[in-house]
Amino acid sequence: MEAHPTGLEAQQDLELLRRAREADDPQAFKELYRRHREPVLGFLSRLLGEPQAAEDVLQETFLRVHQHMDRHDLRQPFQPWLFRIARNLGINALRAKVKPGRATGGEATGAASTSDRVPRDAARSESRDAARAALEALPAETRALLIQRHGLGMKLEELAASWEVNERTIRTRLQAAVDQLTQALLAQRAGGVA
Amino acid sequence: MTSCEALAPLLVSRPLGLLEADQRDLLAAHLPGCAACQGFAQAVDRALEGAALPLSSGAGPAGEDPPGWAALAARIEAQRRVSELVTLECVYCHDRLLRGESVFCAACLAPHHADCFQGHGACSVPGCTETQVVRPATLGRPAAASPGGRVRWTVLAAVVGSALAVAALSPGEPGEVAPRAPIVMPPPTPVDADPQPAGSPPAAVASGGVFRLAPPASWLEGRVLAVRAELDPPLALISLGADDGVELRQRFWIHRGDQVVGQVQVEKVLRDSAGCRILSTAEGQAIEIGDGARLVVPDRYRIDCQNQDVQLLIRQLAEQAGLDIVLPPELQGRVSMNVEEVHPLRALHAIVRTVGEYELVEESDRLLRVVPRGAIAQQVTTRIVPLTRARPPAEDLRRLLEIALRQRADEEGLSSARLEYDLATHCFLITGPNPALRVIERLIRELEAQQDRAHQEPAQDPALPPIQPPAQDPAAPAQGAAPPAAPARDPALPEIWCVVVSVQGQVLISVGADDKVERGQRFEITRGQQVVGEVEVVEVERDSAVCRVLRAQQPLQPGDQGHLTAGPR
Repeated sequence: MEAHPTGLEAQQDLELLRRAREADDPQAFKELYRRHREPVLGFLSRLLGEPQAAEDVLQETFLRVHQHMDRHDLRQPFQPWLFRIARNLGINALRAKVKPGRATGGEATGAASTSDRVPRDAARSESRDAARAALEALPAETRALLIQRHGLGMKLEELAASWEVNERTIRTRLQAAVDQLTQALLAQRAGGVA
Repeated sequence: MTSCEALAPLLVSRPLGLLEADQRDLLAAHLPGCAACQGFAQAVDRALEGAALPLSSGAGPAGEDPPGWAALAARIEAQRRVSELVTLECVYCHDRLLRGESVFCAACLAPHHADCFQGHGACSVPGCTETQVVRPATLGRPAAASPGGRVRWTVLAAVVGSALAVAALSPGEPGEVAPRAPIVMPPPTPVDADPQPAGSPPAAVASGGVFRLAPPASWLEGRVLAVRAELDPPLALISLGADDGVELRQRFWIHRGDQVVGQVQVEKVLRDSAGCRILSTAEGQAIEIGDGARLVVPDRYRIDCQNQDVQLLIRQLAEQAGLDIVLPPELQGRVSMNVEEVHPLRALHAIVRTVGEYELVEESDRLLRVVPRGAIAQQVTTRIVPLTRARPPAEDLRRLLEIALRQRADEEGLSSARLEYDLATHCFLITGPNPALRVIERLIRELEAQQDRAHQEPAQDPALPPIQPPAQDPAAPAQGAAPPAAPARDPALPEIWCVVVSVQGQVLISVGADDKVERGQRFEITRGQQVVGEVEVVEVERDSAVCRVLRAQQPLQPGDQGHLTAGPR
């Protein structure tokens, strides 16, 4: 399933959710899990920076969905609600742990530290890492918003539903995120990093 | 460069799809000729790579379990068991109420089925008319109703952990759900129609009798958490505590499935568990961890008799209820009664009072005595008065109470009453004749309320004017003396606060020699935040002091607060 579901897929999600909660159908819930596992895991991996932690939060997310699926309004799309839960749990997980040095992008860190690359590749990798560090340095909520917008391609309407605010507020928050990221990148460039 | 910096936010907005048409045109015109902005745009792209999702492997084949599903399914199943175990009782229909299907009154939090609340139109608790509900955070999907219908029982949250742990430790029965079958109880038993002991005079006209009815279902159900059979007496810990309404001396059936394996009696009530003495075990059985514990609900009785001899009727009822009773020979008379579903003790009280000036005294939980009412007044008993409003430790309250009792020592029985304060239980233990106990208990409640008001007034009465320096009030000189000017408080004075205990010409305050109070000290008296007068100590006792009024803007009252402001150090 794509990160951004089509209207038909969204309808199918709701039908699966309805079966899961009204008929207590485990197969329907499994299908929901199968369809949304990858996007949610990707989102959490980017947010948390640690695959194992992302797996843990993914499981907790779907457990919460199962516990509270009775409360979801079937007139509303499923995916924004799912990502709201995932985002909140992810941010909670980030707050719960003290990270002495935040990893700068999973495998990219490992690639940058590989000593057998040619110097030009290494320089490019360092440049990429530095740019990503600007993103990583943003507050967790801001990063989550950028990941949902850029990584998941969520529309403003879906973002608004996921964050439980109106579209104007989401646009304002996105603009604030843009400003923060711009300032971070400009500061890096002024420091000669990028 | 300034224009490039102004365009930087647009370069960040571009991959996010936030540009307006004119902004896109502006960038399109500027970017091809500006190397710096091209470099910045590349930096933005690199930064946002961190927000892009990794390449997805797709949803996976439909026939196979997706990765991580097995672990998730196991957790979901565990949660389902929890939701099956944690049940409540609907206040309206008194049926079993799973957490998942419960709603709670928004005012008093009484649990209801949603349809019960809707059907009733409001909260069904007497006196509560709330029409709104709140829903709990559910622990999982409620299980389907059991085939046998809803069974009226409750397993409270405290049992969940232990129940799951027990289930997990039981080989071959992982996560077994607690049995729900009601314990088999004896059927209603009519008492022998003519149970008179040999030799006793037959009732002249007697009909009907005492009938034990089927006991109501127990609403309190828990688990055995621990057993110490090697102790004397053997003890067991059950998963129900004060939170669940467990009280001292309550008895619980211990059962395994539908088989009773023993009975325990509560000896110590903790917040969410209770320590119990094991009273009995079934032959060849032992109480084990994980056994069910169900509150023993006293039998109810139907009494239907006409012109029955009172001694005979009382003996019948006591025998059926398993109570020992001592009757005075002068208790004579005949009783006719027809009552349904009555607790035996309540019935006995009613019978005894019917035939004359007698009262039923409960010597212990099993031994009863019928005594003439006049004798009760002289009977010394101990009453436990839990404090509900005073804050522990209630030493101040105890001192106040002792002072008040000394003042009223001439009243009947008060001088002989003994008073103890138990910090552990935050209770007063008062011992004395019953009339005195009633007076003391009322005094405790009054003093408690006064102290409570004294604590609350400063915060709850903002309308009162702020504390003012004591003003000269020529209209209120006491003892004929000119009102002295209120001196500035000497900072070297000890901080002594008191409460006015009584005002009868002179003022009795709640502090004394053991609080370093001395003659000549002056206390400023306040009510809330308002100064109402000043007193001077004229006589000091160990834990109280008598004062004369120096000035009083308002009549001083018990409960007013005092603060040492002047006098010998």
